[in-house]
Parts: sequence; structure tokens; C-alpha cells
Amino acid sequence: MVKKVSIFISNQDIDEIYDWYNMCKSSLLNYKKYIKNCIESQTNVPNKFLIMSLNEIEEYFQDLHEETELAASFNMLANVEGCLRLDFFNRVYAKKKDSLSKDFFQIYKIKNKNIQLDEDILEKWKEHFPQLKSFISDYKSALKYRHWLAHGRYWVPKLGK
Amino acid sequence: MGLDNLEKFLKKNAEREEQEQIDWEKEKQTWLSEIDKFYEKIQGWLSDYEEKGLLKLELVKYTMREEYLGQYETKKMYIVISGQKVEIEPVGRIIIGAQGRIDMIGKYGKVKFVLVGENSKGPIIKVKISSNPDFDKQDETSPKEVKLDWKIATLAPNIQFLTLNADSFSDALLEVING
Repeated sequence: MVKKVSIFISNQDIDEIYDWYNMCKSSLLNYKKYIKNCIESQTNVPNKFLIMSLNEIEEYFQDLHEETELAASFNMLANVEGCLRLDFFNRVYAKKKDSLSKDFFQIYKIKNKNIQLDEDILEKWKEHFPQLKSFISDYKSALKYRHWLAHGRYWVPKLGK
Repeated sequence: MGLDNLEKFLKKNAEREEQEQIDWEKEKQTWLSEIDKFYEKIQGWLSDYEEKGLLKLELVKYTMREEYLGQYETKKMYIVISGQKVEIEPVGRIIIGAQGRIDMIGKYGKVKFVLVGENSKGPIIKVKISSNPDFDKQDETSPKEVKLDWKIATLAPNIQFLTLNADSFSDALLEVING
């Protein structure tokens, strides 16, 4: 008998990730403001900022902001993947009778847990819901970006839009 | 009575602000002159080698932009040595814990030169904690009274300022071209 995937419902949804991003962004802005105050009053400047120019401090905070954006984007893309995979298994385990669920079940019978997001899930969604084609294509393009983030960003990505 | 006190307070504040006003144009001119002095030092140390054709020094125009100082023209220096081009580039006058910084960038690294008090051994961050409003006036030496000199800054986090002379500059140059 095929062992089922142990489903774990993540405690974060897209809105929470977006809140987390906004919280980090505002914390960074406050920290930058604090550092600027330290510099102006010449008190308690952390060692990290010594012999930096004001332009370098701006760049430092800009880099941190960009890193936060990357982390938030990665979490969001991974979250969407999690939702799609969870939906796949929910349909299969509940043996739902709609045509998409039936197709998923056929794939599950062959591949079991080794389902490919792109060819097994997204392609089937596209086939059954052609009106979602452009959203799915956008998400598939974003997966290149997710792949680039997840694998350590060691190459120059061709991300398109 | 109340209005008199307010007037006195406002006048005192205005006088204090006027005294504390930084003449950025003057600061910029001093900074530009210190950059020139830095290049003159290097030219002095390396001129013999340049005459023998072992290296080449080039000065080129360089436009910078800094908060408070705005946009201004200065120079970059290139040292063409052993088939490599080392770049010496002013970073800025407004530097945390120093009065200016110039970087030397080569294939194998970067060395930072800082303009600091001639006796300074490392960045000093003043911490003012006092309920006495005149506290910061006590034992405070105006930066204008301190004679400035170029030094080499060691790597963070424990930054130290090392004496810059012909030997230490040569070591720094070798470090950025040889690794």
C-alpha cells in the first residue's frame, strides 16, 4: 500500500509573509534613522559603520532592503507551491470526482509522491482552466527566479519580466 | 518677564547655531587640498621608479557627489605596474570616525587610507552621558586644532590606524597587486 504524504499546514499565508516584509522594511528604516542619529550626535556608532562614507551607509541599507525583498519573494513563491501541492494531495486523497482531480489521481497512481509542480500540476491546471493560462505562465516564469534564489544565486539569471 | 526670557533663550540659541554652523565650502577646499597632498606623497615615493620606467602614474579628473558638499571635481590616480592598473580613488570627506577616505583598489584587494588626527591610533566615538548642559564644553578639543595626517586603516571590526610612509605604502601596493 502506498504511504500517504503527511500533510503539514504551514502557519504562514501570503498576507502574513507580506506583513513580515513590511515589518522588516519599517524596522530597517528605523534602524537606519537610529544610525543617522548616532552619526549626527557622534555617539554609540556601531563598529560596523566606522570609516564608512554616508553613500556607503545608504548602499548598505539599500542592500539589506533588497535582501529582505528577495527573502519575501522566495517565501511567497514557495508558499504558492505548497498550496498547489497541498491541493493536489487533498483532491487525490479525497478521490474527488471533477475532471482535474481525476487527472491528478491518474498521475498519482504512476508517480506517487514524486509529483512535478510544473509538468504534473501546473500543466493540468492550464489544460482544465485555460482562462488561467496567463496567471500560470507568469507563475512558471517566476519559478525560474525561485530556482535561482533556492540554489544560491551563483549564476546570472535570465528572468525576463 | 516671560517674553524677556524667551527672547534671551532664542538669541542664545541663534548665536550657538551660528557658531556651530559648518562652512562646507571651506571643508570641501580643505578636503581637496588633502587629496592633492596625498597624491604628492605617492608621487614623491614612486617618482624614482617612474623615471626608471618601472611604473607609471596617471592623474585623471574625477567627479564626486556627497551629501552636504554637493558635486565637485577632484582627481583619481592610476598606478600602472607589472601589467596591472591600480586605482586610487577618493571615497569622501564625510566619513564616520575620520576626516576623509581614499581607497586603493587592485586586482587582489582594497586598502583604505583615512585622514585622521596625526596621533590617532583608531576611530574614536565620543559618548556623551551627562545631566550637566555644559558637560560637552569641558575638555573638548576642537577638530580644527588637530593636525591631520593620512593613515592606513586596518580591516573591520577592530580598525586601527597605521602610519603611512613609503614603506607601509609599498606594502599596501604589493598587497593589492600580489594578493
